[in-house]
Amino acid sequence: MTQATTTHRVGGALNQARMLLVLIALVAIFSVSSPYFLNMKNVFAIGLTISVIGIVCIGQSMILLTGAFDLSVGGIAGLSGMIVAILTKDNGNYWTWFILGLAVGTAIGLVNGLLITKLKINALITTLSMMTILSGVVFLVSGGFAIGVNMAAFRFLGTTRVASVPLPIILLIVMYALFYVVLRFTVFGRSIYSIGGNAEAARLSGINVDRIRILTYTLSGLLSGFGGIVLASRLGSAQVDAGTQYPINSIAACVLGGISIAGGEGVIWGSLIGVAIVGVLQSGLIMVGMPSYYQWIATGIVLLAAVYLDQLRKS
Amino acid sequence: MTDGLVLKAENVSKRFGGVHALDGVQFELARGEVHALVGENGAGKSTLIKIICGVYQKDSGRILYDGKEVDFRNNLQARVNGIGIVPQEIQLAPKLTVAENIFMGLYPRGASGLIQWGELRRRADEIARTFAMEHLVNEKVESLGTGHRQLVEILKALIFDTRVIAFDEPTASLSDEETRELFTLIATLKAKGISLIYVSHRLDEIFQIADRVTVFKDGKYVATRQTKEVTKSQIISMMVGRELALYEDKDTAASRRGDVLFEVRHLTNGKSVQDISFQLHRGEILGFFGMVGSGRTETVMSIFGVSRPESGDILINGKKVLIRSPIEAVEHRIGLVPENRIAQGVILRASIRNNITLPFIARLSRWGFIRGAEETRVVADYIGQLSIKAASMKSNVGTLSGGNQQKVSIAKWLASRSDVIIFDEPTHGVDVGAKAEIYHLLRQLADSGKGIIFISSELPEILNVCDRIFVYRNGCIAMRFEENKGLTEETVIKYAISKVEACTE
Repeated sequence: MTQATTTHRVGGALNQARMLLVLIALVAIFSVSSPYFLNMKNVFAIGLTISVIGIVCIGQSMILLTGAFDLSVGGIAGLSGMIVAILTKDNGNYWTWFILGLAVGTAIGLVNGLLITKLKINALITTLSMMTILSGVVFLVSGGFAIGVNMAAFRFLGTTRVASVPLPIILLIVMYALFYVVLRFTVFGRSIYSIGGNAEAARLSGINVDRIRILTYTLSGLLSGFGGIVLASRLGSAQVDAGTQYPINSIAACVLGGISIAGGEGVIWGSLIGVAIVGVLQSGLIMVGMPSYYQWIATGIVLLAAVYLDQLRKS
Repeated sequence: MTDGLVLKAENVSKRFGGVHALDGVQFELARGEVHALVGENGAGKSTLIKIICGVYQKDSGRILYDGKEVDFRNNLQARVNGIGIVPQEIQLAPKLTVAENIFMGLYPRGASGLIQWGELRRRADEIARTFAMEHLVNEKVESLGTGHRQLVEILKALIFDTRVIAFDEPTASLSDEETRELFTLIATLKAKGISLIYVSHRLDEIFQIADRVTVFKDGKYVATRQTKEVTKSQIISMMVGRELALYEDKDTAASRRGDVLFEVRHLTNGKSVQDISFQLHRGEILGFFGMVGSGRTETVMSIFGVSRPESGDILINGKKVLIRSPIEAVEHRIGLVPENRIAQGVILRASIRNNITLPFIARLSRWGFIRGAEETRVVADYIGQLSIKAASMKSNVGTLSGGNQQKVSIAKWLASRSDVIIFDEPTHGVDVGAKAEIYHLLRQLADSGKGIIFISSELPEILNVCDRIFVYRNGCIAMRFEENKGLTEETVIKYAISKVEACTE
């Protein structure tokens, strides 16, 4: 399956098929090193770990494809999860607060989009500032403490199993399928690729560049908010530092999955491969007995190595 | 030196890709001489001076400086040896002061390696005093006007023991007052024994200041004359006068012309678009000829909603329309094949298919979903019609030749069934074969009832394809040729290059 936009690459996108091989190789190495690695329980555990960042990566992928960044994804995830937790704890009406949490995420995304397109503030600065603001707001509303909620409805999204498969994994796969269709077959998806490929040419062809950009940030806000709510549900509590690693991790995963940082190139399921590589690496290192901080070092090295090797291959 | 020559270029050639920018040209410069270099756009004037000043490297030939062969590898090396350039586009750092700009890259440093700011200012002061500019030495460049910025470029050229300065279209962005000041300055430099190369397409100026004039055409040397012994029309005929094979019969042009399709009334946008009015009929090709920067591109950008005009109306089929963005222009079935194909015309990293359907992808969809089969059919149709050569419609446009890329840029407006299509220098950077195909296509489009605006700086192609020709100069239409009959290059070009104070038709 090859997307038309990736048949001849001029820019700097990694090859998805090759990264899939890297993923398979990592799984093989860890399976040999640890007998517990490749059993269903551990596969689900890895799947659960990556489900939330995976959902966040969908929005990040769309924004990277337009040639921009969203560094506020973690802040949005943290705040949405926190708001839902606090309100549910006070007054049990979970699904109402669930909708509100999504609305908050969406609204913040919309604000990002408006600041970037209408006030023309640099996307990196806008979303970095937003991330910083939101980290503060999370402390403000929570008083600096994790908010635990012990309530069936609150825990539904994160802990339900369907035919023994955890619901977040199913959600992740369904959402990737959905956004694959959106990016591949809709006018909106095509516009995203066009803007990332050459925003000026897209504008001169009558594409409403600002509207598409606003829409991508709004969707990214919605997805990040949803991810944050699922995370709180899975953990049974909203953490004040939830999502702080998401901005960097989501960009790293997308790049590993072949989404070009320059925009316009890459396929959405590539970022799922990227997320899986990071998840497998982290779980595998723990299984072979390495302290957990090695996962950060390893992730960074893999990212650098992958991008560098890909450059070597092209030149 | 016995012959009094400072500089001599012999048989110099330079290619850019497949294009022969310079083909065995010669040029000489005497001590204290102002020597003008003229020719149409693309004649190779700028290329030669950039080679002399080390900005480009020649492919073959010799350059003698003080009788010795030189081959500067970069601009700094040329400057150190006494050859400076005042570039067409002023290249200064706006946030830095005049002094810092003058000594850019050459700041005096002490034994410690730190910059000696006092010494820098003292030396800048000394140079600036020559032109009574010392009060500006500590000003930031961003606070200076265009004329003063150009002076800074000249000062920059003078920090070494400079003997040759090349000016590349120095008056292009100067006011009349600033131009006069520049000419005074040129006289001063000349009196100091400095030799000047003066590239310009404004012939009036050349007669004012140059001792000799050399004409280039299509990258080749034509002739050198004493300005006293030559007339303006003689220079013009040396600049143009090339044989044309492609002339077609224009007799039927008037009969092809249909109703008024598109009209512009009193369009004004700053200095570059001043009170432009015209009508475009179905079935005609209207040519906009003029030098780069004469306001042609700015006019169509104002029409297309890229820049908002200050005033003026646009009418389509007799009805007033409001175009505030390219989105609205495309909705009104106007298409633009922009000047810079790679930056504005096509998406290199997207397929031919995605490029062609870009302007009308919404019309090819239902409920937001692209109708894939329909898209493929339309794209295949236009790839065939324009004979775009590619492995597949899924090939990225970046893999195509320049001519085929341009065809993609054109195809999207055909496929979106635009009524008015504006072509801004569509044959730039495409090979001869593709050029002929583009001319043919323009005529086909006009014959099918569309209105075509064709912008070009190349007079032969304007004369070759247009039904009517408007000549732009200084943001105005300086001349309207209502029919293209019996026109020669000389008659048309003189309206584009003489410097006239105000717009009068």
